[in-house]
Amino acid sequence: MVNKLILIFLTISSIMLTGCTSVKPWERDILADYTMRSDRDPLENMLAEHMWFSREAASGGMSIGGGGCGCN
Amino acid sequence: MLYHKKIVRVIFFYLILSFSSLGFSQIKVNTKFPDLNTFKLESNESYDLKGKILLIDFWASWCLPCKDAFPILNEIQKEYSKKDVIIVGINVDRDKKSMSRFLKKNNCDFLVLHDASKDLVSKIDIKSLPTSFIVAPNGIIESVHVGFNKKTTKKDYIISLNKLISQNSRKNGK
Repeated sequence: MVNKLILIFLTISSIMLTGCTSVKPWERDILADYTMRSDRDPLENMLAEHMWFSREAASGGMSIGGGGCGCN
Repeated sequence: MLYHKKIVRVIFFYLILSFSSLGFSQIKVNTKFPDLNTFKLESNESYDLKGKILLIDFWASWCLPCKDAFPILNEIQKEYSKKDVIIVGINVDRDKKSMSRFLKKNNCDFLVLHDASKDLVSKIDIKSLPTSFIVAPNGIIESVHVGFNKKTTKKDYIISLNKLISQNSRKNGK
């Protein structure tokens, strides 16, 4: 009985999982918008990079070099 | 042991269901392309596509490779217009204004239709933009081109178009 219930549960859940769909290519206009870009503001990008390399104690990738406390 | 077999069966069933949508919805080469007249496609000009070889290109104003394809499509339309080839650009923008704005900025020498309801593009269920289909006069798809490559796509178009043109002229006894 328990096995049957598990089987029914798995079958129903598997059918429901197929309801997951991806964004269709013609619906990607919002994703392709300039405002969706994380690097659209160079100053904000530089600050984010600065905080990242300070927090991670890593020498910067991109255009920023060196480590430190991030306080300068 | 029996229990394990059942679980394997359920997983197998799930996998079949997951891939079933991919397998059945795609329109492939040598299948019939849906009749464009049965869809509500907006256009500023009248058109007659009967008995013509069609190059149907799905594009959107925000899609950069689609924009790159425009000069090539213009060239092909100029070269092949006397050979019964019509290029049809199916625009899939949400808003027709975006399409009009794009067409004002970019030169377009071929027929453009706006698929406002998205019925056609949903039926064909393209996986990427741009996607283009070369369709014979009887509606059978000769080739499908996904994406745009500056080096190869024009050559691929020309190969398919020339093949259809020679078949067509043989049929018509020209």
